[in-house]
Amino acid sequence: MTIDRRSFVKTSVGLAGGMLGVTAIAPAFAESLGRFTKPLRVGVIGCGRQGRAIISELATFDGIELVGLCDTQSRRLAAAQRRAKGVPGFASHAECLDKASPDAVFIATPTHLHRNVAEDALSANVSVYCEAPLAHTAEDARAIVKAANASNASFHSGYLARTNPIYKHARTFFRSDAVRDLVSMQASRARKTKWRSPARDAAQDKLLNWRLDPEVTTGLAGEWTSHQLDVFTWYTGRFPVSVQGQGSVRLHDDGRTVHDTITCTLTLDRGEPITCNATLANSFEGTHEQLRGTNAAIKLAETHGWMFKEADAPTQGWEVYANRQQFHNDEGIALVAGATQLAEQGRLGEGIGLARTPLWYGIESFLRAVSEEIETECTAADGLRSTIVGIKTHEAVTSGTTVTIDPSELA
Amino acid sequence: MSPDRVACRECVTVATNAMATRFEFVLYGDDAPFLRDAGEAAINDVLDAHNRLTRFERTSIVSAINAHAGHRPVRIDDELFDLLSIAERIRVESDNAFDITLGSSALILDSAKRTVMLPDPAGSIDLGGIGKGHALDLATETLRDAGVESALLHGGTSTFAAIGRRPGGESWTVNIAEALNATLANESLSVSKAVDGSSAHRGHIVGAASIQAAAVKHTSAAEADAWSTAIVADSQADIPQHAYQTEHRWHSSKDWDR
Repeated sequence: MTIDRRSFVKTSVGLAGGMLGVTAIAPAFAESLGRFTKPLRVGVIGCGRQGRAIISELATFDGIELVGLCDTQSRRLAAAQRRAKGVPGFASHAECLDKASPDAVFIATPTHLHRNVAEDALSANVSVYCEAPLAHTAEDARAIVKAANASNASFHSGYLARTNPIYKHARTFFRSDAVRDLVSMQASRARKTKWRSPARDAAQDKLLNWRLDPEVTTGLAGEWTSHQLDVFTWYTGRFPVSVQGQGSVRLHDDGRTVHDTITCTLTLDRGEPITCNATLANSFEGTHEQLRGTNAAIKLAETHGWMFKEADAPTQGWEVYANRQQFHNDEGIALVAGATQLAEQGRLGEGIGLARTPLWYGIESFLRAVSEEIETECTAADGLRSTIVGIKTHEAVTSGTTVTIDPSELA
Repeated sequence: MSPDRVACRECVTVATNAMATRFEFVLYGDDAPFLRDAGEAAINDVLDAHNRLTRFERTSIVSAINAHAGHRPVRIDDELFDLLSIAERIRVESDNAFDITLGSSALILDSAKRTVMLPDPAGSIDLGGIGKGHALDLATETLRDAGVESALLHGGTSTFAAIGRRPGGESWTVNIAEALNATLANESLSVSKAVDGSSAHRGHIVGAASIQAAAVKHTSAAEADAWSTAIVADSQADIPQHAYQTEHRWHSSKDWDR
């Protein structure tokens, strides 16, 4: 029996895929995604920019009926209804739950307002997708988890890495020992933006610009960095035991006291460091996470992922077939979800990067869990742990001290 | 654009790069911090529009439509459905001079199901001829909602949207070409021009361009954007160079005046 190179490579890819647990579906061609076993009535509570993004993504799903929108600000509600004409609008979540009778709601209100909405929805056995962080205090986050546990409805925490096919795929590499011994982790999120909405008076300013209100905000650490820390804790299955932080206002000197630039270092229980930076003053390199190991590093950037191998790391058969991209002096191997299937179709190049937004996959995962009555991919307990790590990190940044994290606090 | 800095109390400029060009908004009012906040909210609208409409990033809804060409309809939200409906109407009214499918096939829009489909498997849509205007319409709406009463917005110095008038009460003045100005007050303007005779360099302008440039005013920047594209692409023999339309009279190009 002879075997040509193409067949050999296909076989190698297949073996590697099996060995590494490569995701069984390719996002570009997964027709089953976005189709559910039963129709669902859903509502969106909070129609700011994130709420409107959710509305647009919901419109793409078959069998999903948007039955109610809710926001206390009439102009935000009107903007949302331009994307979903004819859908009733409500000024209170209680009215939305009562009159629209949804099976599930998406909570995209300011973080410190999540608790009441979540508790009311869950007590009515309405399933909840809650944007992350879950809350601005550990007390509120625990109350949400308690309500979720007491309800027959589903609860999904909106940490989007958990449902992102690229991140899930990269995690299989990480957990397969491809990077070998973990050295360190690093996360960065940068966007030049004010984080402020236009408000005509102090009351409206307090309502709209809650992220800059020191009484209720979890700052950049909670709102942004906690999502990246969730990646690391999800990948490693471990949690930080301490965090140091510092922050300052580098650009937006508009009277705010909430930092526009932060740096923090967390330490895992075996001493591995996590370094995180976030800024509203510069946009270079956007959002990414890196995990360095003794054999390879993994870089993740929302819609894309790469592996960078050390020269002395063992070569695996599938690498012959992989797409590569140059990053200055380093060569990254593109991590492609569903690589085996795509390779067999000769379409591996088409699989680089997500086919939909990370938010779309998060919504799809939640709706599938509700429809099929299965556990969500990011549970209330998962959300609680990353929310509290974010709150602790914010505490370290604002105090400029080292804050310890007792594992019992994450339960 | 020549902002009257003497007459205004506060003038704020915000900008971003999106849709392969630069968007810049000049806002006037009494409260500079408020204007900056409003400007940033409007800039975020442009960035959102870019992320939704670009065909160069796989995650956009337009890429999803293109990826399913010839395969199945794609459900979309009402805002995008309305935009595609406008594009399709202008395609019909302009006798295919404006065509977001680049000549591949007509869109199939199902208003009951809110779906769109490209019947041709090789087809794709490119909103380059209307996207900038749409983004400016969204930004303008946000600024108006916030209470901004005087502003001039542009995308790539080719599509403009004016809110109110300049401080002092005069209309905004946009210089289109030498000795040819357009005045704007609560309306939009778009200018398109044929880059050269090579189809490879004409971008979203499909067809044989017989004029060098066209400018169209309209209450909607998206419509102005699309119509200026259509007019340049349409072979009208007697359209003057740098034709300027004082009102939207696309159906009779001979009515154009300077």
